[in-house]
Order: sequence, then C-alpha cells, then structure tokens
Amino acid sequence: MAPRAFQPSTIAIWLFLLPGIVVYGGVVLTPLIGGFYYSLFETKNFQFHWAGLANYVRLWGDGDFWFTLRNNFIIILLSVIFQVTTAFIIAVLMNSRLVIAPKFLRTAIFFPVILSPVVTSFVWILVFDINSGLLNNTLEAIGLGGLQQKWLDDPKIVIYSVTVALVWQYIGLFLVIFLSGLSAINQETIEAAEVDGASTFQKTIYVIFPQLASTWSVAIVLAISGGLKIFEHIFVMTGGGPGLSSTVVAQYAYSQSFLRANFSYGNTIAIAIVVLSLTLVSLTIWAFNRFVVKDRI
Amino acid sequence: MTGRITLPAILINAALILFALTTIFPMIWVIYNSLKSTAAFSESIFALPSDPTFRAYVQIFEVGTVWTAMWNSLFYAVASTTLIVLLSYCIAYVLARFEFPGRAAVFSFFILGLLLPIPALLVPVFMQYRTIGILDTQFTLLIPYTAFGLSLAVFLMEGYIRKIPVELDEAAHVDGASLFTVMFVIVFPICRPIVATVALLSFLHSWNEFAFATTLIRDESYKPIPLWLRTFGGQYATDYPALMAGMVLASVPIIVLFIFFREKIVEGFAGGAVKA
Amino acid sequence: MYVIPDFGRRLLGSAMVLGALAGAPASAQDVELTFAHFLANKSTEAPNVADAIARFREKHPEVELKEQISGTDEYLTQFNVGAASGEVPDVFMMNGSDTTALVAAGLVGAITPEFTADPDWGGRTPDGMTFEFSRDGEVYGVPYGQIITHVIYWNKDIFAEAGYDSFPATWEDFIGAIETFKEMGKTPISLGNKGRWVVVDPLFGTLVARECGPDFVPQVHSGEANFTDECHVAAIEDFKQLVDVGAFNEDANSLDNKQQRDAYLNGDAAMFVEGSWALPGILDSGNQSLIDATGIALWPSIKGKDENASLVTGGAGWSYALAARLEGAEREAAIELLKELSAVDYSRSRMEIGLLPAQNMAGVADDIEVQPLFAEFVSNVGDGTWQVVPIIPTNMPRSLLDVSGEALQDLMVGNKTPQEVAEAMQEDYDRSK
Repeated sequence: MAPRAFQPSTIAIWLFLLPGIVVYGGVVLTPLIGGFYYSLFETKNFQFHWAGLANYVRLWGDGDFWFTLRNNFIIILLSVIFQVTTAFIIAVLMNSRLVIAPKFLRTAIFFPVILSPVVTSFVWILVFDINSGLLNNTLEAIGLGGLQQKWLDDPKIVIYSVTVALVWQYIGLFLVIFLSGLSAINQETIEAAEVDGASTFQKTIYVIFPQLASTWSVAIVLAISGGLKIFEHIFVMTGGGPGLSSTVVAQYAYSQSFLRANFSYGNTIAIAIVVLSLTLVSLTIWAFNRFVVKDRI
Repeated sequence: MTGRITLPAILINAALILFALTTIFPMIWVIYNSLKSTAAFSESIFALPSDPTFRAYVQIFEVGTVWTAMWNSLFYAVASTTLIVLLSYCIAYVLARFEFPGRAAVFSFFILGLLLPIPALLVPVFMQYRTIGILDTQFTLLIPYTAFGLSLAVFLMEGYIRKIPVELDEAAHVDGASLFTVMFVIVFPICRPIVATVALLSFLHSWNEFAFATTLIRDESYKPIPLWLRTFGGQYATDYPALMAGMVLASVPIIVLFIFFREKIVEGFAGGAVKA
Repeated sequence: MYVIPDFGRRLLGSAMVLGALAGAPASAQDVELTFAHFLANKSTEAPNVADAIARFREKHPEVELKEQISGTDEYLTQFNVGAASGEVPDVFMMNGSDTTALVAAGLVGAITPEFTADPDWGGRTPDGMTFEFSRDGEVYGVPYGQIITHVIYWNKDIFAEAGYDSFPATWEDFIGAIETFKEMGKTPISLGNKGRWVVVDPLFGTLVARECGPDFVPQVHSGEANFTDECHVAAIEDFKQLVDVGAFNEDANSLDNKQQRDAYLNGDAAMFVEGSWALPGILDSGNQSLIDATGIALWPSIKGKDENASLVTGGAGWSYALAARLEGAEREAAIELLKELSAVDYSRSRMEIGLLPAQNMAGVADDIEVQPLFAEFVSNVGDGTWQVVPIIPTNMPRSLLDVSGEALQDLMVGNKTPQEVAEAMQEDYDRSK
C-alpha cells in the first residue's frame, strides 16, 4: 500500500475497529471457545463433569451423527450438480444473444432468494402436501398421477424433497454469481472463437468455462459452506423426520442440546461442524488454486 | 436485440421462461389462495378466487399478535441495519485506507464469518447469553444480527472505498479536516451506493432470520415475524388460506423492497459472493 | 395506532431490564417472585391459570409477581439450559422427566412439610398424582392437573356403518375393524406425529401397559425391567402391526396433532388417539352431531391379558414447583402461589372446560354442569373403570422422549426393527439415568 499523506495513530485506528470487533467476536469467537470448553465435559442431571475427549470418542462412533452428516453431503452434492451447474448453464444461455428478456429472467429466478426460509418452507409444505398439495395435484392434472409420492413422509425420498426446496430457493444466487463472472470475461476471446466457427457448445467448454474458474470455486465453496449451514428449512419442513431420515448435522446438535438436555454433546457436534466446514472450504480453495487456476495461466 | 428467430432460440427462451415461472409461481399461488375461503380452496387449489375474501387477513389482524411481531422485526431490522452500516463503515474505511500491524488478521477475522456454519454456533451462543443474562430482551437479537451482517458489509464497503481516490482524503486533510470529518463528511456521502446495498442486504437478513430467534427468544413480546409465522402456521395448519395470508404478511415488506430495489439487491448478493 | 406506545413501553421495559442487570436497586415491594410457565398459550387452559394468578395478586399485594410466559417448546429449551447453568426461576413448571435431575442438582425445593401438613392441600391430592414429582419420600411439585395420556376418540356412526355397535373388545376385532374402515375409504386412525410425542405417549405408552402390566415404570426404575424385555418389544410389535395394517394416514409423520384432530372432526377418520387434553377441542368444535357420535375408549385387551385391559397411562406430566434457593418471605410467598394454583377454585375452573383436576373434588364440585363426554371421563377415572398407571416419558430422563419419538418414527417408515427401537431406548436410558 502506498504511503499515506496522513496516518492516524494506532490507537485511533483500533478505536474505529474495536466496536465491530467486540460485537462480532462476542458472537463468533467467544462461543467457539466456550463451545469447545463445554465439549470437554459430560452433562448429566443438569451438571457438568469433566470428561476430557470422551464426547469426541462418542462422536466418532456415533452412527446417527455420521448419518446426519451423510444427509449434508447429499445436499451438497446435489447442490453442486443441480444448483451450481444449472445456474452456470442458464447464465451462459442468458449471456448469449438468443434470450429475449434476460433482466426479467434474472429477477424472477433470483426472487426466492430474498424470502424468509420459514416462508419458503411453508410454501414447500403446501407444495408437498399429499392431498391438497401443488405437486401431487399438478401430476394428477397432467395425467401423471402415477408419479405421486409421499414427498415428506417417505424416508427414501424426503431428503431429496427438502433438497429440491433448497435448490429452488437459492439457484438464483448462483445464477447472479455466474452472470457477474461472465460479465467480466474477455469478450474478444468469444468473438474470436465465433469467427473460427465454434458452436455454442464448443464456446462454452473451451472458451467460457476456463475463464470462469475462480467463479466456479466461489460457487462450490458457497455450496459446501451452505450445505453444512442447513438448518431452518428442515427444522420447519420435516423437523428432521420421519425418524432420522431428513435430519442434518446442525439439527442433530440442536436436538442433543435442547431436546435431550445434553449440552456437552451438542457443543461437541457444533465444534465438529465448524472444523469440518473450514477444512472442506480450505481444501476446495487450495484445490482450485493448485489444479484449475494455475493450469489456465 | 440481434438474435434471429430460430428453433433453438424459441426452445431456449421457452425453457428459461418456464423455469422462471416455477420460481415465482409458488408465491403467486400463495397470494391468490390467501384470498379464498377454505371451501373455495378445497374445491380447487389452482383456480383463481372467484369470490375474493379478506377473511383470513381480518382474522389475523383481529388476533393481533402479528402487529407485535411486525414491530419487533422492523425494530430488529432497522436497528441492526443502522449498526451494521456504522460499524462496517468504520472498519472498512480503516482497513482500506491505512496500513497497520494486524490489518490482515482483522480482515481474515471478518472473512471467517462468511464461511462459518452459523447454526453450529446456536448452542454455544445460547449458553454464553444465558451466563451473561441477556436472553429475552428487546436487544438480544440485535447482537447476532449485527455481528453476522458485519462480515459481508465489511467486504463490500472495503472494496468500494478502495476504489475512491485517496487523494480526495488527503486534500481534505491538508485543508485541515480532521479524520472524523474526512470519514463522515467527505468520503461517506460518496459511498452512498454501497451503503444502500449493505443496508438492503442487512435489512433482508435481519427480517428473515429464524435460527437465532427461535433459540434466544422465549418472550412472546420480543418475537420477530418468522417465529410468529411458525407458531401461527402450527395453529392454522389446516386452514390453508389463513396460513397463506400469514405467509404473505411475513413477506410483504421484503417483496416491496425487492420490487423497488431489485437491481441493487441482486448486485449486492453477487458482489458479496464473488468477493468472498 | 395503539401499537406505538406499546412499542415504546417495551423499549423502556428492556432498558429497565438492562438497568437491573447493571445492578440497579430492587423495587420497593417487599417480595419479588418470578413465575415461568407456558399455559397462557394454550387457549383452553389460559383462563384458569390467569384467574388463579389474579386471585393470588389480590390476596398478596405485598408480593410483586413477575410472569415469564412462553410457548411450550421455547419454555423447555430455555428451562433446560437455565438449569444447566444452575439457574431456575423462583416458581416454575417442572416436567416429571426433570424431577430426578433437578433434585440431584439441588435446584428444586422440597415442599413436603407444607404440603402434607395441610389437609386441604396434600390431603386432597391423591398419592398417585405426585408420583412423578416425588423422590425418596419428599414432594417437589404440585401437579398442575390430571391428564390421561391415552384416549381413543371414536366416531360411533362410522363404527356402526362398519358393523360395530360397540368398541371392539379384543385386539383381533380391533384390527378387523381397521381393515373394514380401509375398505370403506376412511382413515382408521387419524395421526399427526410430526412432533413425535403423539406416538410415544398417547399411542404407545398404554400398549406397554397392555403387554407388561401396571408396574413397568417402577420396575425400570428399580432395574427389574428393561426396555429390551420381551413384553416391551411385544408392545413395539403391536404398534408396528397397526402401521402394517394401514391404521394411519400416509402423511402421519408430516402433520401435527392439531391436524389429526381436524381430520377426525371433518368425519374423514374413524378415530384419533390423544390425551384427555384433546377433549375441550372436540367440545368447542361446534360440530354437535359429531360430538354426539363421539365415544371414548382405550386399546382393547391384547393376547388375552384381560387383567391389563383397564390400564391407561396418566398422571400430571407437569407440576408447579419452587426453587431450592428460596427462603423466608420469598419461600412463603411461593408456597402461597403453589396453593392458589391447586386450590378448589383452580380445579373447578378446569372441570368447567372439560379438564380433569389433580385434586379430589368430591363434595366441592358436584354442582358443576359438565358435558356428558366429560362426565364419562370423570366416572371412568373415579370408579376404577380406568386404572391409571404412570406415564412413561415423564417418569424417565428428558432425553428418552426424543429418542423414542425418533426411533418409533423410524420404525413406522421401516428404518428400524422393534428390537432396534427397544435397544435405542435402553441405550439412552442407561446413559442418562
């Protein structure tokens, strides 16, 4: 950074930073430390007894924990496939000159992003309702009654049903991310490819795709951290049920603490999620920098 | 528009428009069904209301709890937005303009907030609040709402301030303006566009937030609108038009903001994500 | 625009709370008492609690009573964490499943001396009603009312249509009736189990009594019985049989208990199973022909174990209790409040809306005109037609309710076998007892 003509004292600088750091640290940093501290105890009869790493040992062997984590990974995987990839395709299509109303499309597809998760969850409860739901009635109306499902009651389907709701709500976010990435790429390379007679498909794969590598990394990082953050939607839509079928890891921590009064174990799960999320995100960023971005340059 | 009318063009447009309709139709469906009687709803869930009624809305307003929740949400959203704008501007200005030891650490510290799985913090935050004794007050939710809004706000603001020529600050300083004057009288007005973006995003987040509200608030009189909707949804689970009316009421301010400021909101979300 | 002053008032209130935290002096009133409960939310029970509190305030102007009212779910979560940090309100609602833990942590105060000494208080409370709130001979909570946690509300018209003039007396007949309802296109048992407790308590608990007899809960406490015992697994299998024959609606696990009742009230279902607290909702429905057609029954006799056929789970579930730290004038005031919350007036007003009181009301409530269905409740419980045995979840550690709820849902959708459900329960019990 260039030397400044005026530089306030270090004290003045920290005075400006301090209020924000205190508020933010009080919600982000101290709970992490406190959460880790409590995870070293055992809760029984509303009392805490020192337990060392016993909770982490239990976590390692806890099939329910791994099952709920598997649900998070299903959501992440499907998000990357259907949400990120579809958003990319739509963005590329919208960027071509074929599309007649790009502004309207962008606004419409983005619209659900701004709605409250509680509202969209109720929307999807109504969509999935067995008898008066939008989905089963639509299937009936178009003669596909045979495809009707117990969307939220069938343990084999429910995790996919809630994922549909998530993909639906946030695809617009990924769309605008790709659109903004596309607006920054070099138009000359695309025109050059067109002059060479490249098809739309070839343009996308060989010209556009590589130039969007960093946008892709942002989108995938978002899908991963987003997939591990999932809580409200499932909490409202299914309560994690039936049984454990649609429970995600954040909700598992919630129910251990608040429904089973096992705060130590709830904190243990919380710490595990944080560590896992930060590890996965760092790995993704590292992998992109190492294998994708470098190759291109 | 230079596109020719070809078969692929028609197909692509049709597919995209169909897709866009599926994203907005459910909410439109909710809005028009909220104007039906329960009998009309069970007759056909698709048909437009032939005899629109505000019965569901009247019923909700008569119970009255929605007003408290609306005021609470408005208070949380406005107050946390104000705090976020002020605090993030101070932080972003300092980060963008000055070199000092710990600068990078402070910056990464705030980046962390965008990647943390927030619901994982519910339990520890709750226990911390319980220990301090600040559960269940009018101000309880302001702290997490402000804190988690700061990450994104600091990013957006820092990036914007960086693009403003620093000569402007220096010239003002040479003319005798204090740091405070430079920050708030000279530079802040220039930042209006990004302040607007930050304010809109913060307002949306605070208005919609559910996880912290459901964990930290037990007193009915401090519940924000998403909590109200969940309780109301439980009580009126079989009165579909009433439930839908509740959903509409919970979303009206958000939808109005979106209609007026859609470009800014979309840019804000995209910019925040790409920077992160 | 009444909302604006209201908003201002609450702002001020919060400022005062903050002030108090900062160490502002307490108010000038002699005794300050906080009372945390969730009863204002349940519209049917709100008036009697509110009236009792009003009576208390009138009699004790020297006490500044502060209510902390919340929804049941929020109450539970916040109470749990409060207790975990060693803090409970002065007077609070204690669930039976927390008694052991609160006593062990020294947070709840025994009320035995005052309770047993007063013939109008302990003397009018049947022993069985304090079972959930007593440990080692000490009483810690005053039952807030009596609940029967298993009642089959059945539609006599639909049963008659299927050829049943009375409620089936054996399990085989009952299963037969369910199959007939299915053929008729009716939902046999309307179920809304999204909250998970409906199956655990109203449906499953009394099946355990049918299979294991009246003493299952005390036997688990003493270690003589386990959840993995043959009879308990058999009860899980009975429940599984109901699932397998299609007794429930397909969306049973995505609806809640309000929706299960509404489906019954609409005439779409032949029965629904909930507790005695569901009765006011039926009586209030305004659907007189349905009220007239409604009968009450229990699970029929299973496997010829007729001696268990009159058993039904019940108790109080919740009690009013006080903090162990209270002493002197504060404790006296708290005791007075507990008495008001179990006084004759309080119990009378419960009966008027169709809820059972925890106190023996013989001689003091004979003049109350009750609806026939409720009268049947009162006489069934009073004359021993129904023999009340302890509710399982409220007599077990808190976590068991959620663990069994989850496991039984998993059973319903085929993700767990009866044996696995039993093992999950036993594992949790061993960990948390």
